[in-house]
Amino acid sequence: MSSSPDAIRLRQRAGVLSTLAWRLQRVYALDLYRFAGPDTWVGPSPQACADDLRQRRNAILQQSDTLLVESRRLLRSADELDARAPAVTVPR
Amino acid sequence: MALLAYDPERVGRLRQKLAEASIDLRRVRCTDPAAADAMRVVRSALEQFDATWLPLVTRLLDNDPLSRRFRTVLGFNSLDQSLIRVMADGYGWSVQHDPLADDSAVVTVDEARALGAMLNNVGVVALANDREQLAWLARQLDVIGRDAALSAEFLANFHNWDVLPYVLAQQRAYSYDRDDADATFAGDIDPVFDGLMAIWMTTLPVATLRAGTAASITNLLPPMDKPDRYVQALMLHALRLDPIAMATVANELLRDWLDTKATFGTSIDLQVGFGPNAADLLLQDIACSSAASAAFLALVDDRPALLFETLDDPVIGHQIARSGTDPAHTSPAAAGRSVLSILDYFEIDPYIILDTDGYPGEYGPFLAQLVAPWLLQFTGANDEWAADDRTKARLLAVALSHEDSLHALVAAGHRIADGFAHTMATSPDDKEAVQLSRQVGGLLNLLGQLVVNEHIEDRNDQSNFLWEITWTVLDAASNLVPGGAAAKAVAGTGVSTLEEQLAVHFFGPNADVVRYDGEFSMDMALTVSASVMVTSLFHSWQQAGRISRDAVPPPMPTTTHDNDDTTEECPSGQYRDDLERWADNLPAELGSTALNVADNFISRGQSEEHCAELVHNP
Repeated sequence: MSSSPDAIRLRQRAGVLSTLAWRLQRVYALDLYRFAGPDTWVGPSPQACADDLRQRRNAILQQSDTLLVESRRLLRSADELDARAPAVTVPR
Repeated sequence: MALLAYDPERVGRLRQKLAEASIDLRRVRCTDPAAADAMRVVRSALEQFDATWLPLVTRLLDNDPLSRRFRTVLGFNSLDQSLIRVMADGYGWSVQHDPLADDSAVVTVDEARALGAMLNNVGVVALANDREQLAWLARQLDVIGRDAALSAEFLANFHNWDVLPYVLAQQRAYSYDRDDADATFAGDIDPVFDGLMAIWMTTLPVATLRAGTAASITNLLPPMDKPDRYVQALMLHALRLDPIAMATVANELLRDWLDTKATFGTSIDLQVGFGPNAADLLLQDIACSSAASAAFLALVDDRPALLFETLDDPVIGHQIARSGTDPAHTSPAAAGRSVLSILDYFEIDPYIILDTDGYPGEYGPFLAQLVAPWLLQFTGANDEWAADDRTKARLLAVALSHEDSLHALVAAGHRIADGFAHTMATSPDDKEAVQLSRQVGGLLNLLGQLVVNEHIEDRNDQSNFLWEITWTVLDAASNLVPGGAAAKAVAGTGVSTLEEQLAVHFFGPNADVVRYDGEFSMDMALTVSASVMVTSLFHSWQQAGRISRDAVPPPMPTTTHDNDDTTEECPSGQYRDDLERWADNLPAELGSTALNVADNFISRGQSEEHCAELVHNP
């Protein structure tokens, strides 16, 4: 069975989003907090830095999850488009 | 000035990781609209790394650390730099200015630990005199005390319970003797105690904090070596115990002090004669609760000195005694034990004994206010208190042994009325009216004897007081006359009219015949009282239809006495004659009741006795 151009576009977008999600799960910034704790430095700024790095880590991971959810939604939409399209007989 | 401490090698590694992360984030790209939020998060992180954290760590690594001399100038040794100092001195870390000001509302686990450790070695005297540091410390302790985990970290490192609280308490005590604007005062130091004890409280089982009568100092306070009672009082006060538990531990602390002070010469005020001492701190918390006051009084019934020989401010003790014996909050039996115990204590003025601690204050008026709600219980006709009549009369005399006590009793009319209302039924029947008159009559007889026998500087006051207390008591009793509100209103009018008519007999006596006028005034007071009660009873019968509206009213006392005319020198004699004639014309049951009521104030026998004395001692 062939896909419609719209379904194909949706699947392409889903692929882009899931790739970005995968990439975000591996950015170096996620590990920074481990180098900025009280075994490295202490004081108001170090505390603020460590807190900030943890918050940004959480935000990046949350965006990654959101991208994966959106990717799956696009794939489902593409499947629905294909299911609604009339069957096309491919000439020999 | 905020400081930060750092391990240069690790900060170097952090800079490298930040730079790599920055480069890495620049490589993240996506133009799909559904990725817009994600890319915003990436750009924001990148900007923060590039604009804030990388420059910060780069500056740290590029600049030289602060020298030891500069550290001192910048307040390195101050308490709010505890963690920095621990890391620098303990681990050899470098120190530099921190561009961010510290947020004292946030305390990390490390800071809690470091603060606990620092307080073991800090210069406590300097701290106790530094208002800013005390305020900062109080805020930090408050934040830590709200978090059990932070409190545990703090307590695991803090072991200075013997010194820090003592020095702070000493500064607090001394501050009452200073007028130096820069000095620290209780307002600066108490929040630190609050914070310390809030932290300590996280270690106490809930059952211990609510132990009530089972509370003990040992269970509530951290272990200390030879603790001072003033320090303990500050710590207990800061625990914000429930009032009953506070009453229990206050009794424990003050009793122990009274037991040992003679031997060991200890004090409860750190030897500072100014400001509140340990007793003031503890008992103030009790005085605001009637239940706690009653509980404390019950605990010290055997030793009232705990209330009167400990306080720097005697008013607190007076408040506890009055509140704890208020008829609205305690039983007659319990109040009786406390009131009699206190009066017995005051029988010999405790403040003339040289080694008595505490300050007497105006205890004469206090004693009068103490007994005011319980006057009926002092009479022989009332058996609610476990004491014989002689003892009760003797102790009432103690309460009223000063002129200012007598005046205070007259002024305490509402307390007397409250006491009557709690003791006697309102709108009583004939039987209860007789019982009421027995107690009120007994009371007026008792008060009359006390006043006549009392040494009063100005003898005019003897008659005046007898006059005033008679009407105070009658006013209180008029709330309880038979027949309800209507009868009470009529009785009240009658009382006022009589009061005006009879005033002449109580004022302006001849100074040469004081004794005579004292006896005369007492006879007149009892006669008037009998008249008021019988008249009230008569009106109640009319209200109830037990006697006709046009029935002849009961007689009034004769009001024509003159010191120069001895024909009317015994008011009760004439009144008894008139009353008995009047009663003979009533139905037998009512006549008998009326005479019974009158007998309780001035019986035929008493009247003859009075008249004989008045005739023989003109």
